Amino acid sequence: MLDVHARVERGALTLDVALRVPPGAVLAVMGPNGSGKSTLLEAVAGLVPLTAGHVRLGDEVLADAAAGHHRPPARRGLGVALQDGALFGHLSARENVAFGPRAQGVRAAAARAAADALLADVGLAEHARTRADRLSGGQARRVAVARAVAARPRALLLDEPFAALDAGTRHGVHGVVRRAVAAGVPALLVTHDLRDALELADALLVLEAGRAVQQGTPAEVAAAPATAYVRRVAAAG
Amino acid sequence: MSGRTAGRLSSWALVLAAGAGVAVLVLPIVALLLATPWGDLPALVGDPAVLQALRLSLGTATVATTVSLLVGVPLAWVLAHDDLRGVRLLRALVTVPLVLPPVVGGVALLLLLGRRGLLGGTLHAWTGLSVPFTSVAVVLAQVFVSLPFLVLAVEGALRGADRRRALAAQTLGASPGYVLRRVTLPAVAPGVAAGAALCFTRALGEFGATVTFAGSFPGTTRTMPLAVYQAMDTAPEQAVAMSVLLLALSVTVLVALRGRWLGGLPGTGGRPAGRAR
Repeated sequence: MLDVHARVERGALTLDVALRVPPGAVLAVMGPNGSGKSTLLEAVAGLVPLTAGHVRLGDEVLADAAAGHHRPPARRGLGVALQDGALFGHLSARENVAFGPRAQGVRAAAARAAADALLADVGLAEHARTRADRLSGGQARRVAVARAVAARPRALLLDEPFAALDAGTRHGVHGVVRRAVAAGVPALLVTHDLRDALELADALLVLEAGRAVQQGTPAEVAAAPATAYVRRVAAAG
Repeated sequence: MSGRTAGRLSSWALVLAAGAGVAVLVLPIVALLLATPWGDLPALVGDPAVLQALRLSLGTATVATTVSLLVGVPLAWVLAHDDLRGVRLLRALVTVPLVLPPVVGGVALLLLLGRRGLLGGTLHAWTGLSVPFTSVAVVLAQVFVSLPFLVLAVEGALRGADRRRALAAQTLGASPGYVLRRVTLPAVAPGVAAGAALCFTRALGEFGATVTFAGSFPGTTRTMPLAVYQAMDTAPEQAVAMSVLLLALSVTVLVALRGRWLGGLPGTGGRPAGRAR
């Protein structure tokens, strides 16, 4: 179980959200620009400190603001795909995907073989040797998902991993996420597309101005929009 | 006077001022090239004394650049982290040699490492070694004046390197050292190259600190700039030939860097930074 209560103050935004994601479940997070989706994900990853609240994963405390506890991101064992991929431009797609396992001491040959398999899963087998800074935006996002999954994380945090993907490739990347989750991993999926939530997520949380304004299964939320934003999204989906 | 006439006049003044600036920078080089005895150049440059100075200059500047890289990159990394205590004071200290007349640097080095210097006396008493007026002194003088160039260039590159990439590496379980080795340093390599080139050319041209701290002994401390200065009195043609040689070396470094020169430095639009959220 991923158990989060995150309060973060960042510029004009005050994020204050509580959520729980059971093992093997996907929680989709939607919201307009600046609503705090990325900040929430970065707070869980440990990239921004909590001003209040906690992050727990299973029986481990990753962060507890009241106790002054903040486990560094490198020791949280999470698989994170940041917005726009944040790939290492000087490395190949394969080296990007193998980066996590290599950093954690997996042998080069094994890490590379696993990376190639994942790249094939997201439809990028022929781009294994391409330098990451030569990939298109959509390709970079797919590599970022493969990279997040490769290190066998205990929870997955994906920030708009399917943006700019056509239906076919989207399906392949969905499969990669689904398989990783099926191993009992909780996943947090930031998206702006209700179709991703409907296809992948067990629950949907809608953020506006740093607060949760609606929660439920994606179908429930789509059927009974509580705000103008959700209505708009539901109409588009 | 109409506004349009005033505008035309001021733009003429602007062009004239800019032209004067170009003239100040370019005309001396033109004069040097015109005075160069191109036919005798091979013989003049092939002179044993010139070759000796050239070898010494290239050797010491290479060692100075290597030393600067070894200590300068870690120093730049420290400076790039504002959150560490005392960093601003440290940056001010590092910048001092940039604005200090090199000859003052030479005096300061002498007062530190001379026989009766702060450390030099002890060093001599314990080991019998004396630094001033040796090739080691040449390298030290060059490091003193050129290290700040490298440090500031690398610091700029480190700041410009997208922080999000380093954060992404952390989330993948990479230790700070691993992030530095595999992500940050490769990303700033162009900046390091630019810094090293700046450092090398500055070391190559070093005069004031060298002549004060190391003297001008043929073969051990008389580098090219010192040899040029010496030759101006006795063999002006040779001085001109050596000057052209130094000019060629500097231009070569500049050309070798080309795009990378600016690409690694901050604020030059070399590479797009990631979208910050």
